[in-house]
Amino acid sequence: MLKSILPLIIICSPLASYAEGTIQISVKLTPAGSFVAKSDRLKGDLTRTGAEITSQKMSVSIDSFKTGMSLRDEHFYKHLGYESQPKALLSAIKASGGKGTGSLELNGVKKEIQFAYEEKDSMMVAKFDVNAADFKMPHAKYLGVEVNDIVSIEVRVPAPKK
Amino acid sequence: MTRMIILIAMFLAPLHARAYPQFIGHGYPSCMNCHYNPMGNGPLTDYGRAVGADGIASGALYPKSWSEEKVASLSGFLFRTPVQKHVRVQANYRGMEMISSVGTPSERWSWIHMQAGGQLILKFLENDRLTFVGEIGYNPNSSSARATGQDKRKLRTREHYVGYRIKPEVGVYAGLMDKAYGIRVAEHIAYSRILPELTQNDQTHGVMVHGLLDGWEGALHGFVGNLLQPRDLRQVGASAQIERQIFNDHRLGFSLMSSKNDYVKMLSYSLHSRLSLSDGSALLIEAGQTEKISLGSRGDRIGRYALLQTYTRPIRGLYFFTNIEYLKSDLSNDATTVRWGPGIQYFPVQKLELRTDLYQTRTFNPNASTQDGWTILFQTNVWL
Repeated sequence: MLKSILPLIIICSPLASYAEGTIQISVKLTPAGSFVAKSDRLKGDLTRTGAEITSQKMSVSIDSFKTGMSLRDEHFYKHLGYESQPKALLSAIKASGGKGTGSLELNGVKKEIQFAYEEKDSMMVAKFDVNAADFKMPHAKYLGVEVNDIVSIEVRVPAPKK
Repeated sequence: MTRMIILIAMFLAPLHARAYPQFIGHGYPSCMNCHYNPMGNGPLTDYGRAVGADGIASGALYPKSWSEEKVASLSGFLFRTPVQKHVRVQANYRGMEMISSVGTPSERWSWIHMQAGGQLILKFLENDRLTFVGEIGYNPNSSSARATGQDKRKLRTREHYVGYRIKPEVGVYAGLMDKAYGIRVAEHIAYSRILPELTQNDQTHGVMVHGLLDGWEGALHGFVGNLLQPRDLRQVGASAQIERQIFNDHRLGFSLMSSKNDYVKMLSYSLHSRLSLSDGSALLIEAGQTEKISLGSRGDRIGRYALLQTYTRPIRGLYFFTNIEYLKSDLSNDATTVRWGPGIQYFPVQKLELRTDLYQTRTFNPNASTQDGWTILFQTNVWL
């Protein structure tokens, strides 16, 4: 069985890849400061067909994010609705020519997103902004320090080979 | 002469940690999230105390069943969560065992009460836009007073001011504060604090305007000297410090200060950088110069200093640091002093800091030969 599917895997491997990537969420604080929530547990399949890169689904566990401070981690998971939806999902991803679209499902809310991307050093790096209010997250504030609703997201995954 | 300055500084201006600019490594380039004074030092905000409990101090000694939220809830005064929002009381003690002239016949061990004080904070309006901060503390006998049998112990206030944030980005502060200048490193014996006269007891009455705008942060500070001092000693002038955020969490800054009293006119300027190395690690760099023009008699001089501090956080609660300093207290003189040494800073639980510093001081002077000086410090800092 393995012998029969091995050629198929070899033929198809340049076109599709199982991606394990990183996702960084840059969060700004008011009155000052910022932090980055980072996870290296982003998982999914990426396929290249001609000039287009697609993915049916990519996901990341909310509790795999680390912000550099345990209390902030706890607040972060709670704020992103970890208890009701433990994973953030990116689906229906289509990208070509440096731009792409997809759907982000978070906190029980699914919303279209647009992103810009570039390929360098065999990695695909996509960037987009998300407004937390669009995903029904309340404005975050803790002991006088507020979190800006709009956060910047950077996704970094191995690009499928051309 | 340089050596004498160092020795005097060691005894008169003992270490007195009040600000931790290295916490830029935790994603806090500005001091104002954690301190009522936006330029750092002094009483901590509720947020700052929670960050101290959960982000800075080790969590290893807490019961496994405790959540971080539980730990943060104990960060208030006397381990209690504040039940009202207008009044905050804080208290702290810092002392150290200093071993000076290590390994020489004049080696000496002495315990120094560096700081024992209380702070009262009153805060009003939405987002605590209006604050009153007052501090009073015990001023220990200096070594020179002890040597002459004098008792100069007394209570002393090092800050009392009112602050008003006109909007989140702009605030005005009036009262007794540290001057806005350079990096407020914890070490008041740092040459970057001694040469521009920014040490433990160099606060001044004045008005400071602080602002934040699109990656810029700065303060303009007009001051009239410490009004509790004799009039002829008061340094009257102004200072400015401005920082630019670069590459996300790093800061590049410039400071300028001009002041004079009846005896000396001073002009200081410096460049500094605070670099976040992520996960609590950081690099602090400052280089500056101070011109002191003597009024009425000869003795003008220009001094130069540089500071490099590295902080590495291997695990939560523990910091390894290295301090490297350069001083040329008089450019017309050949003597140059370099002081360096490693240290360990450990926060085993919230409200407790243990710190060890080792300093080697070497003076390079073609006209004289001086022995290296070795000093070891063991500090304990407790705050309630």
